[in-house]
Amino acid sequence: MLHINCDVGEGVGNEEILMPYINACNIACGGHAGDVKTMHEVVALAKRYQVEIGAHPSYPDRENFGRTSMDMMEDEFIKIIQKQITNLEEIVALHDAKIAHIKPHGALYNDVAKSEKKAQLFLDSIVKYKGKYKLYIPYNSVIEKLALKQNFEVIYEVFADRNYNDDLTLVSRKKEHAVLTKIEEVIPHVSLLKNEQKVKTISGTKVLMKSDTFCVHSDTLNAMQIIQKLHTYFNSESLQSLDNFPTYKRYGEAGLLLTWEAKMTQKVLYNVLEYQQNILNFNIKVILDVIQSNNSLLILYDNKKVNIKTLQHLLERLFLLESDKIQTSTRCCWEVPVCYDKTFGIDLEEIASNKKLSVSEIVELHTAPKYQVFSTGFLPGFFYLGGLDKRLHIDRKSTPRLEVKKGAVGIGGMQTGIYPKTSPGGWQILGNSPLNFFEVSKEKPCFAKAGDFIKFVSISLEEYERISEAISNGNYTIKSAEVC
Amino acid sequence: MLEILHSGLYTSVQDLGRFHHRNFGVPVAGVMDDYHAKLANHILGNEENDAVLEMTLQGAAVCFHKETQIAICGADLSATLNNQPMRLNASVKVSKGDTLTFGKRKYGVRTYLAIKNGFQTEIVLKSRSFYDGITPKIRVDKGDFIPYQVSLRPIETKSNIALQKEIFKSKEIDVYEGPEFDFLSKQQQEILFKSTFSIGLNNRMAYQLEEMLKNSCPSIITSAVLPGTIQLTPSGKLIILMKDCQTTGGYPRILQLNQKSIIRLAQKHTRDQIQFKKLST
Repeated sequence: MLHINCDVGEGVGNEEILMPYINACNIACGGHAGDVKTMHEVVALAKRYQVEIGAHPSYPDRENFGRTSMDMMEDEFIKIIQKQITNLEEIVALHDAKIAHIKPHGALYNDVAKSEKKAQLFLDSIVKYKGKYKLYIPYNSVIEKLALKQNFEVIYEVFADRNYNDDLTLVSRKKEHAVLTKIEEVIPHVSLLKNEQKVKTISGTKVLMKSDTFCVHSDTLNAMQIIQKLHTYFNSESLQSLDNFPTYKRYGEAGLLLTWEAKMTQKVLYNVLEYQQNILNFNIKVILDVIQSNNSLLILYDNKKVNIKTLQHLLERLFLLESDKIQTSTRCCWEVPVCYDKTFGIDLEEIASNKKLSVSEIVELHTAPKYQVFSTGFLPGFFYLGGLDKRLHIDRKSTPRLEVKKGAVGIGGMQTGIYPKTSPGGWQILGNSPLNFFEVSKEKPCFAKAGDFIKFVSISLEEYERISEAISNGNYTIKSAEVC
Repeated sequence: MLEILHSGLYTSVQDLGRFHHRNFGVPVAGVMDDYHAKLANHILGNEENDAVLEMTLQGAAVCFHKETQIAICGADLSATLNNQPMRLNASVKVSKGDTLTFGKRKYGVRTYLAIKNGFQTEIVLKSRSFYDGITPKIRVDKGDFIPYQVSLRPIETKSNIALQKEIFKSKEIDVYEGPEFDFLSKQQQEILFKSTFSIGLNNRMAYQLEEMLKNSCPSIITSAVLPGTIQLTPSGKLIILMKDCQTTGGYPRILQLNQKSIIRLAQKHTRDQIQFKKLST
C-alpha cells in the first residue's frame, strides 16, 4: 500500500472527500493558514477516517501562504513554532486524538532542507517533542543529517506531484515543470521511487532517494483525480487480495452492489453484517439505503451528490478501519412454537414415506437445530433460514399450492421457512406457528433480524389455540435469549 | 371525500414509495411513472411525495364531495369533468358534486390524478402506497371514499406544460449492465442489444417479454433486486421487475433500467415493442 499524506486545513475545504484516500494529514495550525475552526473540523475528520494527524507549522506569513522565506529573531521563531504546535495539541486533546508527526511548511520546509542554521533552529524549537512526534523531512537534506545525529525519529517524505533537481531539492515553483499535474507523469514518478528507491530528476538522471510517505498537494489542479488514480493504481489490487473483501459492482444509476463469496455460510453472513453495521455507524449522508442479503449488500446512494467511484473508495476505506468492538449488536435466539399436528402438517405423511422416517423423527430433526436468519425477503417478514438437517432436504412440490396458510412452516430444497402471510407456495408443509412474523403497525415489523437464530418448539393443538388467543389479546411475549 | 363510482381497471393510491423497510422484505411500491405523478403534484404546488391515484388503461369514475383543485398527468384516457373534456397537465378547480370520468384510451397506459395536498389515506411504514399485506387495500373499489382536504383558494395555472411525447412514443429502453451481465455469452449479449422485444404479461410487479433468451445461466444466492432489474429465468424468460417487485431474487440480474426507462416502460402496453440501448458506465 502507498502511504499518502496531504496538507490540509488550508481553506481549500476538500478534506471530507480527501480523507478516505490518505494515510496522514498535515494540519495548518495558524502560521500560513488555519484557525481554531478549521483545526477542529479537520481533526474530527482525520479521527473519523483514522488518518494520522500531523502539525504543519510555518513562518507566520498568511499573506504569502508561508511560501516566502523569513529572517526572524531566534527566540521569536522558536516561540512562534511552538505556539502553532500547541494550538493543534489543544484541539487534538479535545477530540481525544493524537498528533503523530510534525512537518514544516512551504518556505520553511525548503530552508531547513538547505540551511544548517535554519535546520538547527527548527530542531531546537521542536526538541521538546522528540520521541513523541516524528518528523517529516526530505531524504539527503541538511535537516536529515542533523535530525538523525540528534536522535529525532524521521520519516522520509517525497512529493508525488513535484519534480526534483539532481541535488534532491525541489524544482522551484517559479520554474516550468515544477509541479506534475498529469497523472501520466505522477504514476511513473511514484513507481520508480517505490520500486527502485530512485527519483528521475529534472535533468533525466536517476538518483537514489528514500521514501516512506508521498505527499500530494491537495490544492493543485487535478489533485483529487491524482489521488484517486494513485489509490486505484497502487492500492486496489492489494485490497482485492484481502480476506473477506467484497467485489464492487455498479447496480443501476444509483446502486453499488457488494458481493462476498457465493456461499450461505455463517462466516460470509457475519462479514456481510459487520460491514453493514460499519457503514450504518459511519452515517454517510449520501447513502440512502443499505439492503442486506445472504452474501451481499446493495448500497443505494444519492447520485446527484457523489459519483460511484468516490463512494466505492470511501467504502473501501471503511473496510480497512478498525471497528469499535462495542458496535456489534447482540444476536438473539427466538423460540418459535410450531404445531406439527396433522391438521397443519399437511405434507408430513408424504415426506415420511418418501424419506423413510417416522413423523416424530421428522419433527425431531426439524426442531433440533438453531436456525440462523440469513436475510429477510421474498415476502414481507419471510426469513431465509440456514441450518436444515441434510436428511430433510427435499424437492419443492411439483405443482405449487395456490394458497399456503399464514404461519405455515415448510421445507423446500435445502431450506426451511415460515410463510408470514397466506400466499401461493411450493414448499412441503410440516406445521404451523401461531406467531405473527410481520406486523405493519410496529416500528420494527419483524421480531428477528439477520444474524439472529430461530428455534422451533413443538406444541400441541391445545397450546396452539391458547397461544393464538393470547396473541390476539396482546398478552403473549415471544421467548428469546441472547446468544454470545 | 372522493367517492369511487367506478373503480376502472386497476386504480390504487400511490406516493413515491416505501423506502427503508426493504430489509424486512417490504417492497418499494409507489407510482410506476414518477415523472407524471410528480408533474401532477408540482402543478398543484404539492409535495412531490403527496399521494395520487394511479389509473391503468381504463380510468375510474369519481365524485368530489368537497371543493378543491386537481391535475391529471400521464396517459390520455379522455378525462371529462361533468361530461366536459378536461385538460391534462393543468390545475383544474372542482366543486362539490362534480364528477370526473374517463373514456377512450388515446395514448399511454397510466394516468395520475393528483389533488391539492394529496390524498389522505393511512400512512403505513412511512408511505401511503397500496400494497398487499401492508395497507388495508390493494386497489380502490366502487363505493370507497378516499379522504382529501378541502381547498378553497383556487390556483390558476395559465402556463402550458409541453407534453413529453417521447415518453409514450420511444421504443428505446436505456439499460446498464446488471451484476450478472457477465453470465451471458457474447452472442446472447448481441441478441439483447440488436433485437426488438415485445411486451407480454405485465402488471405493477413485473413486465414479461414475449421473446425468450436461451441460456444455461446458473441461479445466484438470493440477493437484492430493484425496480427496473431484468432477470433471466432458466427457461429463458426475460422479466423486467417494476415497483411492486419483491426485494430479493435468485435469478441472474442481467440488465438494469435507469429511472427514465422505468417511466417509459410504465406507459407501455401488451404487444408494444422495445429495444435495449446500453448505457456506458
